[in-house]
Formats: sequence, structure tokens, C-alpha cells
Amino acid sequence: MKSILVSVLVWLFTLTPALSENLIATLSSLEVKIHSQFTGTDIVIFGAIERDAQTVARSGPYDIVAMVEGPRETIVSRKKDRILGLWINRDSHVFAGVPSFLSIHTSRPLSDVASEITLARYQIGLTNRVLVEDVGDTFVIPNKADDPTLDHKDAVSRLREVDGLYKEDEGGVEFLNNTIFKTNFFLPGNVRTGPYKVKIFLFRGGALLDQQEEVLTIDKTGFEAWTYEASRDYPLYYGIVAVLIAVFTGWIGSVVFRRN
Amino acid sequence: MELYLPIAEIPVHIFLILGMGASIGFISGMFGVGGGFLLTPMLIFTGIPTSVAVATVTTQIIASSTSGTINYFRRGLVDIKLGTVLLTAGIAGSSLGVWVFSLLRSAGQLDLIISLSYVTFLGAIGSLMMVESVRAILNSHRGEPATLKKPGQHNWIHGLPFKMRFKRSKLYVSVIPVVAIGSSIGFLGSLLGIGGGFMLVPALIYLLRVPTSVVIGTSLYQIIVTMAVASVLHAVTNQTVDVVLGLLLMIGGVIGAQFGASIGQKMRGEQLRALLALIVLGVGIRFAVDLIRQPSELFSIATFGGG
Repeated sequence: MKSILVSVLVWLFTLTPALSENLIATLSSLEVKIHSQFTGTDIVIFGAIERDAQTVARSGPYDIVAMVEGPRETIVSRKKDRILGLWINRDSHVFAGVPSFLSIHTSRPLSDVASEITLARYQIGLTNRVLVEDVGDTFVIPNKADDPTLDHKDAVSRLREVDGLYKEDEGGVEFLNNTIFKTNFFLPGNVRTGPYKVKIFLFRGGALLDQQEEVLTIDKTGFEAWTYEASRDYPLYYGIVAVLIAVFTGWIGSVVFRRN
Repeated sequence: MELYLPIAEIPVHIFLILGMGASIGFISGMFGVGGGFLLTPMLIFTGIPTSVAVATVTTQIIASSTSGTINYFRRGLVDIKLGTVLLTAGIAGSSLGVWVFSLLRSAGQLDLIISLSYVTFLGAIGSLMMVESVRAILNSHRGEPATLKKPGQHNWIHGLPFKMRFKRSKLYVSVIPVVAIGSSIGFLGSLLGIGGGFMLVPALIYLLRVPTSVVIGTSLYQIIVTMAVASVLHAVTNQTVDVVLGLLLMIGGVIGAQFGASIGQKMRGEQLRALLALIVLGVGIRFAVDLIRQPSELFSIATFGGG
């Protein structure tokens, strides 16, 4: 960790002055390899805010928002209802483009960082980020009272938070001095594989000054990758081999126990 | 100790999974049922995706059934001929079941049908077996011979044509009821994602009057083949068979099945049936409670395709 910090600092001081505040951030790793003992991993984001002498002084402290977003997927949410005394699935909604993982770390409570409309504009925050269509420049906050699927959207966030896949950590970004910050993300064992977007935003006084985006790749390696690919590329042989393993294990068991 | 599952894509505790496999294997070896109706809900409860749990359990059932079948075969307690007729009919029934399965899924009421079927079949079969076995236990306490062991006793099924001789089962019976039982078990099995042993065992005992000792070995033999077909189908259509999870369950299951089989052979037939009836009833009641009681979380989410 210290070497990363030092390299960030060295990089910081060798940079040419820019016109205003710049954000420079780096990840402890851009690649996560899933192996047989994988139970989750930590990703550290280090960064610095660079400003030149001409920068107009603004009031208030710098705010950092760091967001890790997993591959998107299509999900269906179902709600149980009581019909003839039985609790059965009734309403269901399909949501496309839902992040499989979402972790948002901020240096201060989100309501202090920027206005609701600004946060929604950049889709920052669990409630703003999830299940909201990207509508470009004409962004408006959806009228929540009129949204018939609101309870389903809330349920998706809630269930994913329980699984450790969604997280909002206000205060999770720590400033080491006025301009250098770090934060620690935990990717749990049940994360999906694929590309993860890491976005870091710099705010001050409610205005976005700079942002940076990195891509973190999570992939299986070794036996795990090989098995997974075999099940996709050669499903028939995979199935037959699985049956043969089962018959063989059963036979071994009866042979071993016969001697007893 | 944790191990990452390549298809389920989550880490699991090795000993938890081994223990689950062992306890289900024990029940499987003792009663001649696959135990899928118990193991699948257990795996889902530990966080394994439903599609992976259903598909992987089939491989575990193959392993413990193979082990149990060999055990019974050595004692001459497997009727290969009867089992083969049953499973041929069973495969035909399975195809029909897969078709109805996709029809129900497109109608969006698969979960309800599965839950209701579980409650109905487990409840009905469990109650019937319970009543019968308790009566048999009481009779044997009074010194009367157990009704099922009467060799000369026949019912209307035994009057049907196209008779076939099954030597091991000491049976001379029409193939019509055998094919009917095999195909309906295959149909329900593929519809509910289970081997159907808990339905096959009582059907053979009560409808065909096959001796309890032969029923278990024959049922296990039939289950191996049906589940092998199911495993390959799951691997090809859904790609959700997790060999690492399967192997852990198998190792536990094979060990459990050996102990189960040796204890099962020491027990009296009616006691065995009473115990199986208790387990079947228990699971049926659990499903019923889940349907009737208000759940603490009304919502559930699922990913499209695969996991």
C-alpha cells in the first residue's frame, strides 16, 4: 500500500500544472483472479486532487465519490400476494441493465456533496443509480409517487444489500491530507465475473470538478476457468463426464465399504 | 474451509456441503429414495442458485444410488427386469413432463404448481404410508402376520392382461400397471425436478405388492438411469451442473448411503415405511406452511438465464 501511495505522490509532483482542479486516482489492482479459495477481495483506490496556483478559491471542502459498478444484467422481481389463503408470486417486473454489483463510497453524506438533481444526473447513489434509465442531457428525477414499480425497485436494492452486493458507505472515503484520499472496496465471494466500472468523482460546493473512470476485470483462473468454459463450450461431454464421475464415485464408495 | 464453485460462482463451506450430502445419502440408502426432494431445498437455503441446485443434485443422486444399488445387488435385492420396464416407461413420461414444464413456465405459474404438487403428493403419499405402516406395526405387535407379506393376496391389478414374470420380485403381473407407474413417476419427476423415488417406492409396495426389500434396490437402480438422463439434459440445456459442488455432495452421499443401507436392512419393513412416511409428511407440511404463512420478505429476485 505504501509503495502505491509513494508512486502516486511522485506522479503528482512530476505533473505539469493544469488549469483547474484535476483528479488523479489509481486502483491497487485492475485484475481480480478467482481461484478455488476465493472468498472475496479488497480493492484499494488511492487518489489525489491536483490544483494550480491560478485556481479560483472555492468555499467548502473537496468531496470524493467513488463508485464500483459490476456487469449489468436483466433481472425479474416477483412479489408474493395472498390468493385464496395461499402466498404465491403475483406481480412481477423485469428490469434490464441492472448492475450486478454496486458500491458507492463518499467522503461526506451524499446530501452534503451535491443536490439531488446533480447526483441523479450522474446517477450517483443507490436509489438514483439503480433501475433508472440513462436519458442523457434531458435528465429529470422520476416522479416516485407515480412509479407503480417503486416497491419492486426498492426490493431489488434491499435484497442486493442483504447479499452484500449493493452498498452505500457515506464517509468511506478517507482524506489523508487536504488533497490525498483513499478508500477500500470489498468484492464479496458471490460477485459476478466480467468488467467492473470504477468511477471517481470530485465535487466541491455541489459542483462536479472532475471525474475519472477505470475498468477492473474479474475473471476465473485455472481449474475454475477451465471447468466453466467446458460447461459452456462442450455441454454434452460435460454432462456425460459429470454422470461418469457420479457413477465412479458411487462404485468406489461401495468397493471401499465392502472391505470393512 | 471454503471452496469456490465454478458454475454456481460462489464460495461454500466444504464441511457443510459434505454433511448435507452425507445426511441425504443416509436417507437415500435406507429408504431407496433419491432424496432430491430434501437436498434441493437445503442447497437453495445455503445460497446456491436454484437452477444450479436442481441440476447438480441429480449427479449426487446418481452417485449415492449407484453405491446403494451395488450394495443391494450383491444381496440379490435388485429386480433388473422390473426396473428396466419401469425406467423405459419413465423416460417417455419425462419427455411429456419437460413439455408441460415449459408450458407452465411461459404461463408464469410454475412456482405455484410445483409448491401445490409437493404439498399434494407428499401429503397424500406420506399420510397413506403412515396409516398403513402404523397399522402393520400394531398388527405385528398383536402377533398377526403383516398383511403385505401374504404371497397369495391379489388385488384387481393382478387380473389385468399381458402378464409378465418378474422372478426377483416373486411377481407374475400385467405390464400395464408397471408401465403406468413408470410413466407417471417420470412425468411428475421431470415436472417437479425430483427422482420420484418417494412416489415409486410406495407405488411398488402397495399397488404391485413387490416385497419391500426388493423395492428399494429396484427403485435405486431405476433412479440412476432417470437421473443420468436428467443430468445430461440439464448440462446441455441450462449449463448449470456444478461438478465441484456435485463431487462434494457425492463424497458425502456415498458414505452416508452405505451406513443408511446397512441400517435399512436391519430394520423391519413396516418400521422403515413409517419413518419414510414421517419424512415425506414433514417436508409436505413445510411446503404447506410456506404457502399459508405470510412470508417476512414478499419480494424475490432472479437473474435471467443461467444462474
